Amino acid sequence: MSKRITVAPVTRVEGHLSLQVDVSDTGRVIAAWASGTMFRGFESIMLGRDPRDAIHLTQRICGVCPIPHARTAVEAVERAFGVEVSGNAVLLRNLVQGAGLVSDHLLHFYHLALLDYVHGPSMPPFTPAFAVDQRFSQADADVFADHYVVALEMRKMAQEMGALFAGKLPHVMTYAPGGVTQQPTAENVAEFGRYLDELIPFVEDVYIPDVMRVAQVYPEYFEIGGGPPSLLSFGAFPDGAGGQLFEAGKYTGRGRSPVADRGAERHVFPLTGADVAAIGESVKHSYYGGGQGRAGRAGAAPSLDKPGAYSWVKAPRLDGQVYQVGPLARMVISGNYRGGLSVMDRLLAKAYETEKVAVAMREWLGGLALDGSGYRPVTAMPTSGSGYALSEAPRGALAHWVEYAGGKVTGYRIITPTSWNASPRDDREAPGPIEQALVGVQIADRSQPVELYRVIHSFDPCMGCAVHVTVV
Amino acid sequence: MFTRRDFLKWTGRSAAALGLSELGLSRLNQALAAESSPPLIWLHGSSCSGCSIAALNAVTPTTFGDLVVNHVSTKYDSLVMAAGAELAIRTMDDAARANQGRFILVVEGGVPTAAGGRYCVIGERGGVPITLLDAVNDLGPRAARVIALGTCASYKGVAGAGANPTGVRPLGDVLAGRLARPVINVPGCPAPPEQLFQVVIGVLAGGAYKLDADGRPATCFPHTVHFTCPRKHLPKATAFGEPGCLLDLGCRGKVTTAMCPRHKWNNGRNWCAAAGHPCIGCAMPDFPVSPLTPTGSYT
Repeated sequence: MSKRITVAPVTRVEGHLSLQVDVSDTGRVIAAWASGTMFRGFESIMLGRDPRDAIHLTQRICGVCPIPHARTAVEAVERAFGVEVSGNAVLLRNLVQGAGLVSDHLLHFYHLALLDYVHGPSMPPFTPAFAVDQRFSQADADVFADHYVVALEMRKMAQEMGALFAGKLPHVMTYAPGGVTQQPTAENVAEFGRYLDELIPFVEDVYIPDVMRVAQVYPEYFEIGGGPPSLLSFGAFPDGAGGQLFEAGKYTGRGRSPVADRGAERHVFPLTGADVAAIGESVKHSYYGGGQGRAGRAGAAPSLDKPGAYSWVKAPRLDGQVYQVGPLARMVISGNYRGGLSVMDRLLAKAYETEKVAVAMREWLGGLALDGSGYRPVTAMPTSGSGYALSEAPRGALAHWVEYAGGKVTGYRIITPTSWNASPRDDREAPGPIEQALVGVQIADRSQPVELYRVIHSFDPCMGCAVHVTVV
Repeated sequence: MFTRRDFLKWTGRSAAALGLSELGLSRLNQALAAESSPPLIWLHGSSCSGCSIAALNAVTPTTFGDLVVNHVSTKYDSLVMAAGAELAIRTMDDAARANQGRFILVVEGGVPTAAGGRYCVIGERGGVPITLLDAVNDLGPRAARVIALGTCASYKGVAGAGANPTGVRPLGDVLAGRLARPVINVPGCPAPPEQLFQVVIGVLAGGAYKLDADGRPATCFPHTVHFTCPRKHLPKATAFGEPGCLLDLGCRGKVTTAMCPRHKWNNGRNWCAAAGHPCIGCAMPDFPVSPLTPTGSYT
């Protein structure tokens, strides 16, 4: 006899997520269903508006990761307008986006995920807590508590650093068609560099060792929470010379993980235009009317009582296949990470990626020209057009598509990282990555399912993003 | 970290700014000295969590860490709390019961009211979904004071823009007539954390807030962005990237009351007009107006 466990709410995630799992008599997860439980209906906000409004409005999908939305929106609009920006603008956008990534990854590890492994201080909001499988000594826990507080400061500093070129964070003000309205000066470049002087050592000497410490004490989590062996990255952080810090590509493993496929770079393929065109979204189990469609083309109208529906998240699929996205996908596809697919691999890849981005920021900062070339005035907006842009948010692949006519948006479409990772079952009843990753997890105490938390948090779900949007 | 002593020093210095009487100040000191700090319940609604992120960025008058650790007892905040699932909901229920009439309720994000509130479900109690609307209706009248955090909670904001399919209504409207003291609005997209913390501290001290016509603490929003904007005396800019006044590029600074030119953002690092972008009026009841982006020279 299996028994159903409901986890509602899943806390320490952005937004509203709940989970149902069926577990066997021995406490092993047999099946899982992940539900996004909040819907805003961004489509009705975007329609009929000036396409440039998307730069500001789509950021409000998520205050945790607004920057990639702003960037993808402005680049989709620029493509529709036929506008190209300067190399300086690209670097400025990278610097703001990189600052956001560093801030966000620190928040994720220390403030969202860590409490799944370490007890916090004996006071709210750290109490009550799940009281199972805590392996660290009180002395260790005290050190982690210190780092929790220092990391609050560090993530705040990363946001201040980003604001030097963003105007403010969260919600970037300076990304406009034509570039970035905040120009670099000797002063703000030097100040940005001083922030990096503090952040890079923290990432290298505290954050990465802390993740490794957790991994050493919970080593079985290298075998837990793998999810589907298919990874997707849209690529991010262009260098202005045709390259990107993270390559766009897909990884389709034949084995269970990149480890099993070691030495098999043949499993990484570049992302093609045909791949992007083959992205569709199923709404069979989502609270939307209509059936399957091209990404976002069908099923826009909310349908609260739809039979079989259990989530506001849609199920994006590439060529009908389930993909997981995020730092691990990026790092594997770019050849920077050669571990497996698991809870700990996700946490580690994220920490290493933070270092990679922070170090690259130094280079971008050094490449800035103080010549006011970060913004070139755009003098005309075609009355109609369409465009799209791809990038990588902290949690994975992000795409925006815009269509407008008569100066007004007629269609806006977004596919976010957590839509991939937290997706419900699709038309073929294939569960989403988180749902797959939970199967087989062994739960010690059904009333305190901390093991489920570890798997879910390794994906760092962002539900505001996952349930967004958009479609005509 | 900000110590309790620093905090008291700060509150002493800024008592006038907060509008606290001496009596209020002594009550604040008592509140902080009490063994159990005043309880806080923080609900997330139809939001982007940007107001939380902004609160995490604050250092003035104190840090988020200091506030939630040393000055209030954060019983429920689904973004940071250790507990989850039933345990989290039970924690919220127990806290409200044990602190009837004493807890501060912060609501971040819009309150959807269509379809009985089912567009935002925050958890389950005994297998029954709890909507944000249920939680607000239940907890609002039992709280010592209710704070609407951000433009979405204050006025409906982005969550209720356009056709507003989920029926988002301002928190103050949802609770109208059922509170001893009105909801305090702290608008902004995100809400400026300095103002949130000032309001929380003021509430702890028992300060009677004078609210303006938009439900905001009058002292927090004394004048328009344009009034103190350093660009206002410059010749009008005709394109982004020029140093002048941004009025002709769609700036909403003349019709937006907010403290941005003075407080700036991210602890004084920068703010919108300083970074070359016009004000988009994110703290106002009509946000997001259409078109939002400035039209400039190329419409």
